[in-house]
Amino acid sequence: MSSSSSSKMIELRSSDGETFHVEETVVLQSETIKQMIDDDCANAAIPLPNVTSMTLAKVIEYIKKHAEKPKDDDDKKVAEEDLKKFDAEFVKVDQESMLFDLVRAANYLNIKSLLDLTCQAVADSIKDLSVEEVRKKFNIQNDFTPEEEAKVRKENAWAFD
Amino acid sequence: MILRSGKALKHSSEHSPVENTNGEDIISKLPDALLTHILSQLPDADACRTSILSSRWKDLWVFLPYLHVDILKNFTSEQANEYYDLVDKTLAIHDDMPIHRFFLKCSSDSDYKRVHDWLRIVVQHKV
Repeated sequence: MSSSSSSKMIELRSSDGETFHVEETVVLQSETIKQMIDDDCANAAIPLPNVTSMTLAKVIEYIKKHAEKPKDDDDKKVAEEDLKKFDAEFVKVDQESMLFDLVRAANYLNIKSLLDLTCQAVADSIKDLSVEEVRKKFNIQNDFTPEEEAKVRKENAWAFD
Repeated sequence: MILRSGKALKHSSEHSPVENTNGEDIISKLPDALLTHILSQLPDADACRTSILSSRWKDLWVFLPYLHVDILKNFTSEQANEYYDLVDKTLAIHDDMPIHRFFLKCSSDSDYKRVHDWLRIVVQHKV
């Protein structure tokens, strides 16, 4: 890793051309960007052609919060609780599409904890729904013929018992 | 997902994002790796039941690190053969992927030679 002080700023550019300045220590949570910095490709603004400014702003909010360091052990417990609350609130997004944008961005930027958090949020949102409800929720078109659907159901019979 | 009773369990949806209103199926457009990541965070049966959502979802469960094999007694011999082939194929796909759990339900009239082959493969995966 290139030598850096905590105050070194990295410039990120979203797909729609907005630039964001983030401390290097914060942005290193992204394995993708860390690799770029390690390869000395971060001297100019780092282009992120797959991430819109709206999504990038959310991602930066997440990594900033997760970069906060507790001062001592007592503080650490409080910080852990605080972080849990933050995560729970973070995935309550107004637009469902934002959650999927975050899944894609977390994957592209390779931020494992954010990927796990957002995928878990999607999983939680479908867990208690019937197949028909999941189709309706996500506008999934059932393109099986009744025979095909019956076959898939039979092949996976253990799950439908 | 549907409970054993066939009834759907309704939980408060306070953690769920609001309904997608523009009619687009965004979730099915996610790449396989991300959809399987989501499925891996569901209980096994819930994840497997997504296979009947649509053809896009049909084969995703095969990438999950577990396998439930249930050779039904009411399979016709043709259905049983297809099912054996499907398990063979799924295990072949898992060749260089981990298998963390393997569940097997068979009966006295199952094809023991093939079942034995499956067990040999999963033992090699150190399940």
